[in-house]
Amino acid sequence: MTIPTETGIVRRPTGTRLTRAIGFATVVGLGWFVLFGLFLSPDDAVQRTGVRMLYIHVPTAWLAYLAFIVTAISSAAYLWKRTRSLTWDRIAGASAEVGVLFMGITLLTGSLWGRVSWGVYWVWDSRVTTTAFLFVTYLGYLAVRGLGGSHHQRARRSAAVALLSVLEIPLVHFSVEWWRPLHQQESIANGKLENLMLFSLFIGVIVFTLLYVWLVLHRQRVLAMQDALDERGLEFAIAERREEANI
Amino acid sequence: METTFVIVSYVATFGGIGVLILAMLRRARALAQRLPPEDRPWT
Repeated sequence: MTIPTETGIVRRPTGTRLTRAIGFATVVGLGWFVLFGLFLSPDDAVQRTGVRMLYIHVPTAWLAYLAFIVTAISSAAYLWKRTRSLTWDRIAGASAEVGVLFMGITLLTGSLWGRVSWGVYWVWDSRVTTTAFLFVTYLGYLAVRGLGGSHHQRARRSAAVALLSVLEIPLVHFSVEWWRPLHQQESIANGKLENLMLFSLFIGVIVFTLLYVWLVLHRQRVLAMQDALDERGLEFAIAERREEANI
Repeated sequence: METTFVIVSYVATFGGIGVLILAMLRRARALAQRLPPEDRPWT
């Protein structure tokens, strides 16, 4: 079925002045991040140059937590009758997608860092296992979003999953306190990083936060267009059937 | 070996994100061509 609409290339379909400003700030920040992360920050006394993976590993883990919390808050906003809107559902979905991307990067960089620090890519300790479990849970959340039904059915179903899934985050975060795994405990709060390392990590947090906001803004607009196309497709199909019936 | 792992982690991270961004923007363009402007209220 083809849906009759305007033709021609739309140059910036999901871009606005705000997203362009955020995108520009992200690219500039990325330059600073690579400069400090790879060249200006010193080697660690114990982990030597391997410590540079921390500047990606930690911010992406934090941002994945934030993304999943935003998913839960947006899902609650959808379920609450006063604020019920599919926009909340789309923000929840977009945030979860970006969270899964960041959590995947956390696992990848953690695995590489583990090979350097521990001599193995993977250990089934409490932090690594709970993080992998959180990643798989949100893959499941995205799979639930892809099931059939109307947009509101999708929103209700996935909101329930999101509100349950977010309960795993404290389990992941406190796993290093509760079970004493191979994974190291908090380095930042314990003051184990020197100034330039801390600054590189700070730039990493800023860059990945900007990237998260930029990705969620664009992605939720792509989801909005997908939903609009679904609705227009249905309207067009009904109109077509009516025309056929008149003939 | 450590330097190799550091470089792989940076390239995989930003390369992966870059590929996903390109795929998302291509999808956005494809969808926008099939929809009237009123379905894109942010523009």
